[in-house]
Amino acid sequence: MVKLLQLVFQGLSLGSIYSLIALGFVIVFKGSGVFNFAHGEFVMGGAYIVVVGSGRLPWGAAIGLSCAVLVVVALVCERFLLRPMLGRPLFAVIMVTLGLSIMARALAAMLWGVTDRGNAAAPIGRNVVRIEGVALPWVGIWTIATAAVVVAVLFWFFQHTHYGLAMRATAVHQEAAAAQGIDIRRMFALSWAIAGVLAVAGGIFLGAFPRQVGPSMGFVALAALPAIIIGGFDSLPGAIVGGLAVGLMQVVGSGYLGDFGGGRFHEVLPYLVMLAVLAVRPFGLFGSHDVERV
Amino acid sequence: MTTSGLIAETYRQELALRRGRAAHAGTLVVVALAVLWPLLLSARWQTAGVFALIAAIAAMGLHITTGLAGQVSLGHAAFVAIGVYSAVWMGVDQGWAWWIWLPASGLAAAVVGLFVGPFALRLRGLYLAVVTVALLSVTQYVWGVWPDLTGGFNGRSAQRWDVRGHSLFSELDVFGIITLNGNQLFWFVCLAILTVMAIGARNLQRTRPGRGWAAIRDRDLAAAVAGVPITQAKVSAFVVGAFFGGIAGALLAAFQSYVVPEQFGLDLSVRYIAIIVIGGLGSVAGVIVGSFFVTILPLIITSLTGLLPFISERPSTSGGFTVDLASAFVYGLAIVLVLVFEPRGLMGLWERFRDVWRTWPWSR
Repeated sequence: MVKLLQLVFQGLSLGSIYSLIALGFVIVFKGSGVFNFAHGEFVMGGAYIVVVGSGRLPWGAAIGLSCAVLVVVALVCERFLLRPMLGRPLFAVIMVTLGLSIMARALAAMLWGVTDRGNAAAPIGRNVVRIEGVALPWVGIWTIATAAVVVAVLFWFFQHTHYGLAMRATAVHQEAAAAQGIDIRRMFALSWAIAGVLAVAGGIFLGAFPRQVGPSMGFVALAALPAIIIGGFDSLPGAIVGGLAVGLMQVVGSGYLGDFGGGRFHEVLPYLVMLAVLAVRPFGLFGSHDVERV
Repeated sequence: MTTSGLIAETYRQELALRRGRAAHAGTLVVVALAVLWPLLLSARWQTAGVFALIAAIAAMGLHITTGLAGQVSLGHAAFVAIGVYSAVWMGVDQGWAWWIWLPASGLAAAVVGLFVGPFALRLRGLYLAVVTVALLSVTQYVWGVWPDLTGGFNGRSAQRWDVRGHSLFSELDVFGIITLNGNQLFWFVCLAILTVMAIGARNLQRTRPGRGWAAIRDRDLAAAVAGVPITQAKVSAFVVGAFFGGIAGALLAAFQSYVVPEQFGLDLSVRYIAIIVIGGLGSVAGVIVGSFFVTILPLIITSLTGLLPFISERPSTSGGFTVDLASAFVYGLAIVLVLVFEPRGLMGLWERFRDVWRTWPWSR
């Protein structure tokens, strides 16, 4: 029982990170129709700036700097590379973001090398709280708390603010939204900026103890892909549920399936569950069905 | 106007494969390039050339799945890997001859394609793209936990390509005229296979299934209404594409002589997509041009290091402006720039240039 609780806690904390990353993918996709494969590299870049910046600045200032840089980078990518792609086939748009991710990885390796750069959340420390034999690392508690706060803020933003409503309207129907006087281009930019901030949040905790900030983070972040599919590409609650589910599957799976399938079965478990979900619901659990006309 | 080839004056001209003097000259240049490349260039460029030919065969498969039939696949590297490991199993573990492992590894990949195809029936676009990523990670996992076949993390040596007891890597005396080394032999063998497969791919475009692929690429629902058998078309697009990938995998294993599972990840898939996108989506010639561009790029940047002092030739762990990183960056940049500014790729650039040139001075 203690083992299960322990694994569930670890799974939830990993899952919160995936949820944050998945939210970045989904908000950009809903907001501007682009599926941004470079989001994993945004996460990596955010973590690198925090870890390198906190060598000279206080941790909080480094996070602020990282958010600012990521927002600017996201806005530049959106305005100059992806907006010209409006109306082009999905495949071409995906490919632009894949090209971006290759560039970002090369750039990161030029700037910061290819060795791991340590803990992005060092000030939180490595201490552990023990409750009834279950060890709760502070990092995990912080991760879950931060993800909860971020999700609450996003919920409030989308439900109760002017801009949030405008973004939702744009996501539902761009032309109708434009007819109501909403500046569509500003909504595109806003969705990318939000994704930039989410990438920093995800990056800090993806690069937190016991993991490290390193050049492979972009690929680790792609583990959020099955999370997005399970939840449905265009659903924010889906991203959260999917992220938590993938985190739980990986951690609980690695705890109980260690003797099965070469000890690495938990790595593919999310993908297998994703295929099963797709076999039943081709648009994920919460995704919306496309109605197609000839 | 006959030389320009724009207007046919006789029925013979209308039927001709290539029109006008310039087109004939162009064909000659391509053939000359194909023959002289391995004979004149250094070993480094010969190796790169063979890799480019193999990449072109693999990308030709993706060209069918994605370029013709429009089914986005990020899992093409998985088919190549299946080709690699079936060839290794048949060639090394079973000791079978090349004329068995070469076609059979293509078929093995095609069988896996048969299982992926049905996913394309219910899913489109992004969902399908991520399913192909799932294929990639499942195969990666299988290679990882099957060290008897793959050698696990460390990799293993691959099959030798012996033709009647003569290894393709050792020198061969051709009719006493010229002695070809291993790289040159491989070049001509791969060139022959690529030529056959490229002509095959091009002719497939004009068959009934090929037209069906083009129809489902443009709009699968409309194609269904018009009577295209969607199930067959989508599944066959994956099967045929996978077959090409499997053949390329077998060649790759034989040429590399050592394979590591790690090399068949998402990066390789993206590389194949980059090839067909940079070359020009939907064009067979574009696939070949694109694969040479992508494969040769690092060599070009390496030879630029003499001119640009700020690029260091040695890789380093602390970063800096090294050849590897610079070529990776330029490669990503090329993908982005091509898509944003010239969606039809290098072939589109060429066609634009050609049209201006042959209608000169009446071109815009």
